Amino acid sequence: MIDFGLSVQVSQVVKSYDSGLSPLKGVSFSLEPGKFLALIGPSGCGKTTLLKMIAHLREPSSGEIKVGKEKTDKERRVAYVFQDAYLLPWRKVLENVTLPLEILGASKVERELKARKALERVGLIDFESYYPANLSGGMKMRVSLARSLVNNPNLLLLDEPFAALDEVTRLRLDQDLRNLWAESQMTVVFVTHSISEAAFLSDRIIMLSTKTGKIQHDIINPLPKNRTLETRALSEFSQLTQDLFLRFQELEA
Amino acid sequence: MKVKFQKLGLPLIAFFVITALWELAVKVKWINPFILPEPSQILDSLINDKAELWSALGITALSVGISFLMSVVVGIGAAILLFTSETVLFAFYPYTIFFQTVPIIAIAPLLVIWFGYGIPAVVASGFIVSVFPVIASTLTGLMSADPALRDLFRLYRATRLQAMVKLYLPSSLPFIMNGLRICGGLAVIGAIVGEFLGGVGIGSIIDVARAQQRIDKVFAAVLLASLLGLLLIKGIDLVSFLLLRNWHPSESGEE
Repeated sequence: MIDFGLSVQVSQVVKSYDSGLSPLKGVSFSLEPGKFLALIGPSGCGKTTLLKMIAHLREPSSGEIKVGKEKTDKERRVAYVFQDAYLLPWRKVLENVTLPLEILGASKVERELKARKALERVGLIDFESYYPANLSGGMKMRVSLARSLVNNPNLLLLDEPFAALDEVTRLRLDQDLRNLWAESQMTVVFVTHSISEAAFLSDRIIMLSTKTGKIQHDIINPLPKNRTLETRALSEFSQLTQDLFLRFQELEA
Repeated sequence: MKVKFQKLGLPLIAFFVITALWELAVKVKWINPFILPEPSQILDSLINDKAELWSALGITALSVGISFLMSVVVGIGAAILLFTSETVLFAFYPYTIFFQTVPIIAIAPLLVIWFGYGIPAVVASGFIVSVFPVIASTLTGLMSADPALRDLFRLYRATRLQAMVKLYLPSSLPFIMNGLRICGGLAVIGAIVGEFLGGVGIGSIIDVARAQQRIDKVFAAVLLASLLGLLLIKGIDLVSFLLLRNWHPSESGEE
């Protein structure tokens, strides 16, 4: 289980579009296996684009991204959670969660066993035969999370996954995600524009700037590893969010 | 209760009121019965020419059924081919529009020359007229699969076949069903036009009755043809409901 998570190596990545827009102008960082990284920055700074490139869903215009370079293709299990749940509405909850395993060709027994386990982890085991249309926004997001976990990923990428949810649900899902990560030793990259979410969840925070198209700050999160509701009441927590807020403001000024 | 009345009661009341006014208008000679027969005369024809009309309706139903099924299979298949290869799309899509714009009345005599009198020419006519909406709506459906879901399938390295079966086709279903409704109506029209020249079925009866000045019989035959179309479209509605009720707003009745 040592070195379970994948490393991520981003070197001199540039992304520019035909329209002339060029959100990323040379971004480099390296992330050790098993870390929880939060990527924040003002809207338009290219954080979602960067995440998609780490997932190999988009190609950088120049530069290079290496994910788990010491691993074989088969050992790289990357999962991605979108801004919305993006479930297949014609499939029941259980069949949505089994989808990744189905694509990989796992047997029905194995698929359903693992899917039920994943649904248990997100607390939705009683809803396996519901259609997504009958679930609340928070529940759909949990199903989406279960789908991403079903393949036991060693790199989990999340793109503002809880941004559309109400605050109570969001705080709860933040907590769940942190716990899921702590249990699994996977590497996580979490894109958000919420400062307190980044502070609560991460080990490390990278702040991108829209103006320079580069990394503006790279901060180690000083909070204790064990995060609970009380963490948000710590003075370190408010110091960190205050500090992040000031830096964020500077970026937008 | 109120909904039931609106859905069943209102159309029935409207039907009886209009039929009664029509009957009256012809009876008191506001309208010449050679131009528009009384509803009761149409009913008489439906009863007196029952055997002839029903056997013709059976033949028409068979032709419509075959052309509809051919349009569904060929239309969806063609759309998948067009979608799968950009080369095929650019090379052939403009020509599929031919099916949409072809003046079937001009082509139908040719169909009789090619296929002879009878059902094959009729089926060909029904197919030509009804295949385009299936191609166009399926293609639109395939192209509107959600980009995020496409990314999801790419992330898990799904094969093209897996993506087609598990993502593109299911997400096109609402579009396909809509195309089938249009296809069903057109298949009836195309088949009947074909029958004018093919010499069988309801279309042939309309043609002959018109020549004999039996306008009541023309109306009786037209009525049966519309009922056939109605039945087909209601059948498609039912299939659409069964396939989509659990997940698509168009059939689940949720806002």
